[in-house]
Amino acid sequence: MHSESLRQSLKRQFAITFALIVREMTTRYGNKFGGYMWAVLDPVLYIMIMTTVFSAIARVPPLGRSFALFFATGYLAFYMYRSTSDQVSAAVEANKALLNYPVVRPYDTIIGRVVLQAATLFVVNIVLFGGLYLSVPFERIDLAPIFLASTIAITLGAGVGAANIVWFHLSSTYQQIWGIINRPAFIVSGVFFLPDSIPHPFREWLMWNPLVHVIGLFRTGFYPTYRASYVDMPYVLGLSVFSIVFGLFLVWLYDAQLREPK
Amino acid sequence: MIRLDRVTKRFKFKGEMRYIAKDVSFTVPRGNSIGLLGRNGAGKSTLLRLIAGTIKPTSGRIIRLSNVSFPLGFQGSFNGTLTGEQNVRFVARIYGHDTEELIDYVQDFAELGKSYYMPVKSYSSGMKARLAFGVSMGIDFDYYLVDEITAVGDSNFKRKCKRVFEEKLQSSDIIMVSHSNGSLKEYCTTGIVLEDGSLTYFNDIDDAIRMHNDNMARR
Repeated sequence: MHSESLRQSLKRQFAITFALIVREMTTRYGNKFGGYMWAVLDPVLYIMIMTTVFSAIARVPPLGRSFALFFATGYLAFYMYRSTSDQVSAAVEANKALLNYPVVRPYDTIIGRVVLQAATLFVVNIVLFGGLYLSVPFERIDLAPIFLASTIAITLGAGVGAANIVWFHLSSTYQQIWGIINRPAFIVSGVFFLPDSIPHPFREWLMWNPLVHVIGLFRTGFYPTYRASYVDMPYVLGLSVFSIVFGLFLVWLYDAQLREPK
Repeated sequence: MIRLDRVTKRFKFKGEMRYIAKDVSFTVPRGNSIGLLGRNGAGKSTLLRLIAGTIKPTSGRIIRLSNVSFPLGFQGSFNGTLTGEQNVRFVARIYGHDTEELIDYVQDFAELGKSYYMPVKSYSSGMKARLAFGVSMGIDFDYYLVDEITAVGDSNFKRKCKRVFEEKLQSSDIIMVSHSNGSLKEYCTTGIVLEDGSLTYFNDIDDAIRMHNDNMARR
């Protein structure tokens, strides 16, 4: 490679990221660019259906007056983590053919998917809570904790996903086990309940789950009186920064193996 | 110029270590087109991918002081769900090439007609080869890495390849994997023979072909 100036390499990075995002948007839902609206509609409709079903079963929410709002806030915070982690963990495998171009590196596929996922989730948030506001008006919205919780969820998801690119590549048994263990993850993340209501010592155990903190923080943006005093910011911030650094480090370390077949 | 500096590439095959290259050092100066020869499974395509940089050596390093193309094989490096035209667009973007210009060039070169706007997974291997060939020829590289691709395609297409190759050879070099002595002699001046993990460089392609034929006769 020629030695490039910083400006040139930034320009190249931008071009490659853009090309990968366009190809994702074109192929994820059929072969039409407009098909990508399903990436927004899919979680919006899913959360709406789940919310309706659970509102019918449980009428009294642990917080506020609307079970729909309680469930939607919890599930969306969880979904931001989960969908980013799933998308990123498949980033290299899905773009394998394109790694045949030497200018495309494995971590470019990660950058592409994280950027696209963050933008998609932004739109999902707006559509979902816009729709929800029309049906169950909430008192106020505090954007700072919502934004912070979303950033932590996406960073954590990107970090876990990046590390999983390597672990999944090395062991398909691990990939199966990861899938099974993580399926019920949203039950123990506080989507349905508040950790405040969980008795000792289970509550302390629950606090190891970073998603409990993310969901709690996210909800403080919608419930002005809810303090969520259990949210340990240094813990959850530290963990998300650690996970993204560690994940990208692993991808860098295993760059050569990732380019070869499993 | 491309320099291999103490390059070793090995991988486990059925529990046994196989070497493609063992502590190999050599320099390819500009102005030489190289033919890669060796029996099936000797690692010609792997060497080509090493030179391109899409895979990494186990140890040692490869220094490229030139602009090297992606390895051009009939498998193609295309995303199957994208159409031919969308794939071309992608390549133009990542190489910073004018998108519309490359799309027109490939459309003209590959002669895919309506299939140009169909997903690549519906293509025959000949069509993929034409698309791949068009894409890489539409971008200017110092070195074109070619993996057997001239073997695919009908005689019209082969004639076209020959014409564009000759044009490109004015300012670029080719590193080519081929089992056809005719193509090797036509495009390459020097040669590399791969056999049992050792790599022998010949200044004259005829000597390389002779060595390869001797190897084949031996075993």
